[in-house]
Amino acid sequence: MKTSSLAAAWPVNLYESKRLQGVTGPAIRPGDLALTQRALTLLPLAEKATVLDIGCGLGATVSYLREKGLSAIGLDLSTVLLRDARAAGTQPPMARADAHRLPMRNESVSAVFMECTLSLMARPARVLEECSRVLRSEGHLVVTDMYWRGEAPRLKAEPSAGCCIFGAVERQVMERRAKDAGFTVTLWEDHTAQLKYLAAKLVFEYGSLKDFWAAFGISEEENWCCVKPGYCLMVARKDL
Amino acid sequence: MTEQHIDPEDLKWRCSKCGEKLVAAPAVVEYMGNRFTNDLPQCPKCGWVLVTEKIAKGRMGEVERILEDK
Repeated sequence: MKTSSLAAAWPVNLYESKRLQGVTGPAIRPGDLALTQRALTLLPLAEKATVLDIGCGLGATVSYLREKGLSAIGLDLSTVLLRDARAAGTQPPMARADAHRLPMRNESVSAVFMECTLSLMARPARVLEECSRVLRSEGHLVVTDMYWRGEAPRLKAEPSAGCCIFGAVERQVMERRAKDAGFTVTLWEDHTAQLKYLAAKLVFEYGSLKDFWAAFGISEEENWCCVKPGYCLMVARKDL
Repeated sequence: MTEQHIDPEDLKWRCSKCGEKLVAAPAVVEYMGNRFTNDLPQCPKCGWVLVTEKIAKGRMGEVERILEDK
């Protein structure tokens, strides 16, 4: 796959914005590290266990996991974010890679984190298959992401159109995708309050959500006012 | 809200108590358990904050709708 098509498969411009990062913090997602911390309390991970963070961005999660004694590795498609991470002094192992083709051996990691990144993927089912492939038997998948609290709206934009909201699906779809990829969902928690808090901060920073979208060339959908996006933590275990 | 969102007209007001000209400075806004720090016009002496109708019905109104899930 050529670089240009990789970029098309995982648009990252919005997340490379320093102004947005100023609102979200270095984790560049709702809740900062709160849900990472929450997930870590639930996983029986041994010291030095190998953990993969897909869509590591500036490396906030990778740094946190390494502080907790884990051998965390970060992958991201954005050369800009990886460069900015290094410029900021983030040293953990991070590399550029496409989540649809993970550069990892079969059954080589104990846990995979995807924090607000699965919804950005062009082919989320394929990415989950890759997660299953690289995870050891009974390894853990941690997904935090946007989802639709009601029926999914019909948005004009395609999934992976540059923001996680366009790739959001209903809870049932998230769980079915995980099951189809060989996982058993062990935990589902709603954390929409984290999303609302971030949205509110964006309003203060950009003037309105409409102005926030416009800053990234994204038009508000006609039915934007009617949609109810939520935010969740899903933990799943790879089946034997 | 960063300083760029403050209407320059709002900084022409003076504090009725202190007589000081208002300045743009960080103010903490709390709503439904959430805290936000944003630049708002305020008196540099006593700290009174000016929340104009435009801000109240605009950005703060949108934030209120988001947090209340309306």
